[in-house]
Parts: sequence; C-alpha cells; structure tokens
Amino acid sequence: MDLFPLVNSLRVAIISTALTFLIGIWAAHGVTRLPIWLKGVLDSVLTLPLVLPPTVVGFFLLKTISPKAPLGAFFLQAFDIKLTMVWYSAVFATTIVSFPLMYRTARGSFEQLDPAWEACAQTMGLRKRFIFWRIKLPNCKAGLLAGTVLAFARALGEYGATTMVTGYIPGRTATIATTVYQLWREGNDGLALQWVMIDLVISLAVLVAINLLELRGGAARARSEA
Amino acid sequence: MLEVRLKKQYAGFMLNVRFQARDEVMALLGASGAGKTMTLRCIAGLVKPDAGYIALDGRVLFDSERHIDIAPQERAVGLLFQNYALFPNMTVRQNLLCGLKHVTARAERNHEVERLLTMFCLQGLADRMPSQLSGGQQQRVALARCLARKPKLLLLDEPFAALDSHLRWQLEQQLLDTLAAFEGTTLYVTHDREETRRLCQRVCVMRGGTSLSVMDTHRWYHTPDTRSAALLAGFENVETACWVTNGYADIPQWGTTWPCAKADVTGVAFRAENACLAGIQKDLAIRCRILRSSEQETICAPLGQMNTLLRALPDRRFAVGDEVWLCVRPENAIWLGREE
Repeated sequence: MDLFPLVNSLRVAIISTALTFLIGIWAAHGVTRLPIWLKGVLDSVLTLPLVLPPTVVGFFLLKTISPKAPLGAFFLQAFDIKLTMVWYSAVFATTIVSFPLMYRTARGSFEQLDPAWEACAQTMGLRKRFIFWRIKLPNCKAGLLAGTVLAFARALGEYGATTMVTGYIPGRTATIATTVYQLWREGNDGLALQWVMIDLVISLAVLVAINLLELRGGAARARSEA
Repeated sequence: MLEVRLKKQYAGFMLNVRFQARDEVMALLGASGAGKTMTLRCIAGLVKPDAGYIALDGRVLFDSERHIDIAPQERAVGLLFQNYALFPNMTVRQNLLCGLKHVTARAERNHEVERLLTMFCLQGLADRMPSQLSGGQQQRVALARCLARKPKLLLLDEPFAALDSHLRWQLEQQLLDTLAAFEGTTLYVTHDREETRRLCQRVCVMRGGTSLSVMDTHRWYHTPDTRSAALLAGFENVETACWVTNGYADIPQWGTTWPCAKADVTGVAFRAENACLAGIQKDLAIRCRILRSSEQETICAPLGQMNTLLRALPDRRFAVGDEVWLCVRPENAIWLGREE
C-alpha cells in the first residue's frame, strides 16, 4: 500500500494549520479592537469560507491562481512557479477553508478576557507587546489550542476546494480524501475501505484531543471561579 | 495636587466633572451610574475625554486645547480595579514583578518584591496563583502591585465591593495605614457613606455624571448642601422646598411652612433620628398619620399626602393610625441649595 496520500495529507494539514494559527490569531485580535460596525462587516467576510460550499472556494481560488488567472500567470512568468495542480496548491485551499474555525474560536477567547487586565496592565506601564504575549495569549491558551485542533481536523478532511486546485495525481497531489473518492470510482472498495479506516482513526484522535482540551479548560475555569 | 476638568459624552450620558484634590484621600461619592468609574478611567488615561484638562502636581496629563494626551503607561497613576484585575496566569510574585518593569537591575527588582511582600503580609503567598487567594489577599496583592510603580496618584475603585462585609473593617485598617504612608493624592470611589467617613478627608459628590460641590467629610455628613449630598449622607427625609416670603420656606409635600434664612433654598432634609413624635406642636412640625411602626422607626405620611413617607424615631405612646405631630429641632433641619 502506497502511503503517499497519508504523508501528503499530513504535510498539507500541518502547513495550513500553522498558517491559520498565525493569521487566525492576528485577525481575531485585530477584529476585537475594531469599532462595532466594522467588526460586523469584517467578521462576516472572514467567516464566509465556513458557510460557502468548498467548491465555491475552489472556484474563486482557480480564478485567482490558475495559470490563466492574474496571480497564477504572474507567478508562472516571474518565478516559473505553478500554483495549481501541485501538492502545495492544497495548502491554499485548506488554509482558506479551515481559517474561519481558528479565527472564530480565537476571537471568542479574546472576547472572554477580562478587559480590566489590559487596562490595568497599561496603568502599570506595561507595553502593548508584553500585554499581548504575556497576558492575553496565555489566558486564552485553551481556546487557541481547541481552534488549532479544529482547523487541523478540517484541513485534513478538506476535499471540495482541494480537488479543484490539485486534481488527482497519484504520488504527487493525492490526499486521503481525494484517494478515497478515486478508489471508489475505480470500484476498488477494499483499498478505499483501508483509507477510510485510517481517516476514521485520525479523526477520532482529533475529537478526543478537543474533548480533553475542553475538559482541562473547564477545570481551569472552575478553579479560577472557586 | 490633582486638577481635573473634563467632559465626555457617551451612550446618552454626559460626564461633566470638575474638582481639585490636594495630597489627601478624597471620596468620589455617588450612586451607581453617577460616572465615578468613568472619571477614574479618564484620569488614568484609559478613556479619552472629549474636552478638558487634567494635571497632576503641575504636570499636564491631558489638555484638549493643547492636544496633550499622555499614554496611561506614562501617567504614573495607580488604579486599583474593583475586581483587582490580577493576572490569573501569573503567581503573586510575577504579578508584582509586572509592576516593577521600570527597575532595570535584577537584584534591586527582587529586593523590591520582597519589600512589598513583607509590607503587605504576603510572604507565604508569593508563589500562589491568584485563584488560590482569598478576596482579602487578592486585594492586598493588587494594592501592592499598584504601589510597586511608585505612582503619584492612587485611584481606588470601590476596593471593598468584592469582599464580604465582616472582612472589610480589618482590611480597612490596613488600607488606612497604606494610605497614611502614601505621599500623594488618593481618589476613593465609593457609594458607602460610612466607608467615606472612616477613610476620606474630603468628599466630591457626583450625580448623573456631574460633579457637585467638594467639601470636607464632616461638613458633608452633618450639613450637606444639596439634595444628592443629603441622600448620600443618609438623610432619610428629603423634600423639595421653596422660599415664599421673608424668612419662610414652603414645603408643599409636607403641608407646612417653616422659618428659613436661606433665600435660594431648593430643599430641606432631616434625619429620622432627629425626628420625634408628639401630641402637641413644637419646634418645626409636620401634621401626619402613623402608617407603620417597628423597633427601629416609625413611618408616617403627612395628612392628605399618602404617597409621601416620613421616617421618625419609634415611639410606643402612639399606635398605627394615630394623628400626631412629627417634630424636628430647627438646628436639625438642613436647608439645601441648587445642584449646579
């Protein structure tokens, strides 16, 4: 059994999770500090990939990064880099699709912080950077971790947008999700079932991880309220 | 010396505050929603006033005309939050160290932490997390952290609101020691008149976002000058009055006219403890009927004014339903002026 789809899925999910982690926290922290009307508008836009069908995300992506689209053409001419039909195309797709999960969970955590902490830190002469890294981030650790795990799970399971920008090239762009579909189409149900089982195990592990994190977060909250 | 003049409009509320405080403990006294906390936030630099001027010991912290707005980090103003705002991810020692970032030498910083821990009786608690402390201990840590940066001005936002009442008195004694040792101005936000009397030398009364007169605590408690000041001082009987002719003020709700020397009078107030019941008219009197009687007080209503309640000392000689005279000695009736 060729394990490339597993390796590829994992590397795509890990890279896109790292990206959503950074961009998601940055966006969430930025949005909580905006005036209320701008917050509403931006919040809707940033959450859109969560409600759109992944194929619509894939469509927009192709209209941006395919060799015929402006950005794709530019990268091809300037750096001789193809943005579609290669393994890292999937990173673009999964990053966009999993971003709202990270963003929304992180925003929720930031909004639950006691605003008095930041205000108090300011009167104590502490700089914005210190307040962010040493006070805000540590106090929403559980929420950020939960968001990361959710984003990772979503990235690992992404199919619609991924298949549109990477196609299915065995040994080059195949992920677990696209492989299962391909094997089923070929009538190779036995092998498809093996990949289904692998995916099930990974997904279960992720869900258990989320539950453990929530338990720990809940216990910490109960302690601080006691 | 703190000088504050500020205006700020927000959510249908107008903050209009003006006062000066010396090196003393001054109470910002008002009912909830009077703008006390917002005033503190403006002084600390956390909220920007629409217009005004704030200066501390001659240093301008805010001046809307000259576009001066010093960042809260640079104001040297310590603010003690109502819920203490201890950082929950740090131990007591780390919380204190946060207030000592300005001390560059590590040894000196550690020395300073030990000094604060000793001063506030926190030695055994240095490595605890805030969630493992009692309310009183949390307050001491917050106060120590506040003073770590050697502020010139101390702002205390209802420091006892989060504590059980039986803890308060003892913690108040510690706070009094701390405040006595503090060289600078302290603003003490509260709505508690007894706390004000124990802790503060002067009082700035606030109502609906506006600061009224500033006066010393004794004068405010015994002879308040406005309706708000009288209510905050605990006067049970407060009513509108107007000056009618030479030397007399009419109090329509009480159905009486009393001699009064204050021409710009707007109201009158007296304490229940200064009001006694009698069968005959004497001193300043109100004809009324007894509605209820208890161990602590008698409640009566002026004849024909069932919705106006008066509170007086209990008196076993009279029963519910009796018509009596409620009598107040002239020196105990306080005439109130206009609220600017």
